[in-house]
Amino acid sequence: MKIIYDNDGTLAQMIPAPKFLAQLTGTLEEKLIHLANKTLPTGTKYEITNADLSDRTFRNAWEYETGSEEKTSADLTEEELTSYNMKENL
Amino acid sequence: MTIKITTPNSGGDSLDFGSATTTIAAQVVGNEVSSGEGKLEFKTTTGGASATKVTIAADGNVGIGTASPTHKLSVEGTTDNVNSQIKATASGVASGGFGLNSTGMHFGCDLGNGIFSFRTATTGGGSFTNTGTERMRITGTGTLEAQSPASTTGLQPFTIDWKNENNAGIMASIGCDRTASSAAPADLVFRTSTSVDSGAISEKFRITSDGRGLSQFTAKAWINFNGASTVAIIDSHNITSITDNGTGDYTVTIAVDMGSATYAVTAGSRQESANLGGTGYPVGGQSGLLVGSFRMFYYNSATDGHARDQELVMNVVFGD
Repeated sequence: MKIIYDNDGTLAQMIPAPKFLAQLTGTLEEKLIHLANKTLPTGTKYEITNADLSDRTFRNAWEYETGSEEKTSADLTEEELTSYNMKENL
Repeated sequence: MTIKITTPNSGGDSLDFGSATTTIAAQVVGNEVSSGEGKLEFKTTTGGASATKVTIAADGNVGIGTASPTHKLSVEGTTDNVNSQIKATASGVASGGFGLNSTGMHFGCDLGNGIFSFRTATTGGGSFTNTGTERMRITGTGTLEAQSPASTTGLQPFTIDWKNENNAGIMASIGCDRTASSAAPADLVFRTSTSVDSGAISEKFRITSDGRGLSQFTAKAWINFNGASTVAIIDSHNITSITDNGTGDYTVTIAVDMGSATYAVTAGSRQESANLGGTGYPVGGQSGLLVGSFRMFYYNSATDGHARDQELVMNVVFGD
């Protein structure tokens, strides 16, 4: 599973670190939502997908398209921001 | 009314307790030690022989098992057995005590799975009672435990400090730093001093609750990932994710942010075989550090400016 989103007109795919996911609780989708909230600017549209993106032909021309499962990144809680030392967001 | 037994010489006079079958069962004996000084002995009879069991010396020292107590309370056993020393019991529970034998000084508790508790009080009184605050315990299974004051953050009581020969400055110390007042786990902190006499001691190394080892000389994060075909993280530490931005273009996101964006990143990679392109070598470029992430580009030295996917990328982060 991965997170895809638009990065200045090009599709970006975010691959989670297995060790980081192992530290989290909840379902895999809940963990990926938490990852998106931590990593992406608040309000970023993204989608969690299991699509095979191994064929990297014309990689820089890939574009993100809005899908039915699209989500929007949200703020982390103050406690979560503190635990990640994300002082600039506090 | 005063009962006074007076003897004309320096010998002892006694108050005897007995019966028809045991003439002397117990005695309280007063002895003049020298002119102006006396001692009191408490004797009991065993096997028909009366012997001193407790002595109150002229100077007030009390002896058990010794007729010449040298301290306020002197207890001397005659066997190599800890249980022959000092023992205390409470109604309904087992006993505990301490004693000295040929193997050393021993403190013990006979209570099943009982604890050995150390208590102190910050104000007067109560330090050796249940009203004192328990600071440290040895559990029934042998674990040494130190107890934190409720909801107190920062360096916790019971640090292990090494002091210099003057018992003044601390040379080195290990402690537990509670970073949050909730049930959150704590860090282990190692501190050393560069000037013991000045008392200056500072943190040099920290093991965080999530296993990171933090110091100027340890890596804050590292990652080993495949950046070609099916992009995947092989292994990592303190990393949440990588983002594939495009060909040979990756952003690595750090789990717990760095303190500042002045850290250093080392990069090594192996270009995927399909793009080796003759004599070129993979070259990494960095396009800006943020406290929570860094972005790296990789291209072929023989085709300058042409990005290439890397089938193996390794990044290591040092800094604060």
